[in-house]
Amino acid sequence: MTESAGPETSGADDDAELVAAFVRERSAAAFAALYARHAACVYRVVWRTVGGDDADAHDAAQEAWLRAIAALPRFEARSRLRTWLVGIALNCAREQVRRRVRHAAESVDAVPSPAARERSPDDRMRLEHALAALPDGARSVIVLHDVEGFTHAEIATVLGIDAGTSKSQLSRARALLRERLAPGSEERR
Amino acid sequence: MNDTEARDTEGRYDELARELARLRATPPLPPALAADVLSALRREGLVQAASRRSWLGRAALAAACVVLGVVVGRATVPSAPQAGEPLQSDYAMLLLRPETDDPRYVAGTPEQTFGEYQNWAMARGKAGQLVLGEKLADERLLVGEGDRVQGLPEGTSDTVEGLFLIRAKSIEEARAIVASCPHVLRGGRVELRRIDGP
Repeated sequence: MTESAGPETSGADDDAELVAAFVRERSAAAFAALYARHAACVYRVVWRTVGGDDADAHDAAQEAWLRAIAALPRFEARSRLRTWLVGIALNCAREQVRRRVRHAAESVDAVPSPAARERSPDDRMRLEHALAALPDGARSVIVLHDVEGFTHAEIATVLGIDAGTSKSQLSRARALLRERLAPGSEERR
Repeated sequence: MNDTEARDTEGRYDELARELARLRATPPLPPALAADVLSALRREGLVQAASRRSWLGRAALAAACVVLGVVVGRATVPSAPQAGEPLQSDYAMLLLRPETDDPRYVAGTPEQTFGEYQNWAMARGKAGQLVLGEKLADERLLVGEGDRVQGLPEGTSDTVEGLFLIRAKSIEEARAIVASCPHVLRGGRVELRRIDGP
């Protein structure tokens, strides 16, 4: 299954048809069509929210799909389907992080945060690590806007904030990210 | 995100935003996630359990595509190798179901699935790699295991759904042909067996 290129190509009409087909049939094929369209975006957001941990991302994504499919008959299309799905996914990912933190606090062998794992000289990995180290709110806004291409209005829906707040948080998040990526920033911390 | 959106709040071009946009290519979706989610949905009763009808429909479709392969294959049966050309062997491709539920296997409309098999069979035929295909009837007789079994038993993953006969210069080439088959790309499995002839 492949995913459409991004949110800008995720047609609301097509989504409405897919949702109607699933609610009507409850079939694996109808689920597969929804999954093919949105799973990659949902997984990317979840993966970055949990800090790049594959196992946590898998669990959170699975839980997100369970909740989304259970709630799908009540989806009212006030927002795009992808925006709605990502909102659910973000909540699941944050819950997963809280579970991990709780578990680490209780465990003698505390799990290091993903950002503290082995560093890679690769620029992409450096960027991923810097993203993972951002405060949760800042990371969410920058991932949704700059990575996934969501609009501020959509981010506002996902995060329960207004669009103006999304814009100001993006500006702050970019500044923080630039700061963390600046030469010598590793040594200063 | 377009270039206009990639400008930061100070209005200057932001190379960082371009780098972030490139992150959309990663990480790849884990292949196992779809099957895990589908299994969980079925456990919760949110998706109908795999029905015999849906599997049979898919099997019938695959069989129809195999018939198509017969037509294409017989129209373009590979010619005998010329002097100096490496000898080719025939290989049987036994089409098997996925071991576990795989949404890819039932995704798309029948027309889309048929189109995928059609394109593949035609391409292999034109390349002289498809010898024939045979439709296997749903009716099976398990000799030595009792009575005749009507239709495909539900839940078995070792049932051959279709058969292609391909021609290749080596097992590696045959494997590459199989790997391109929509049956494999949709999560189905193929048992590849060389015809042990002269």
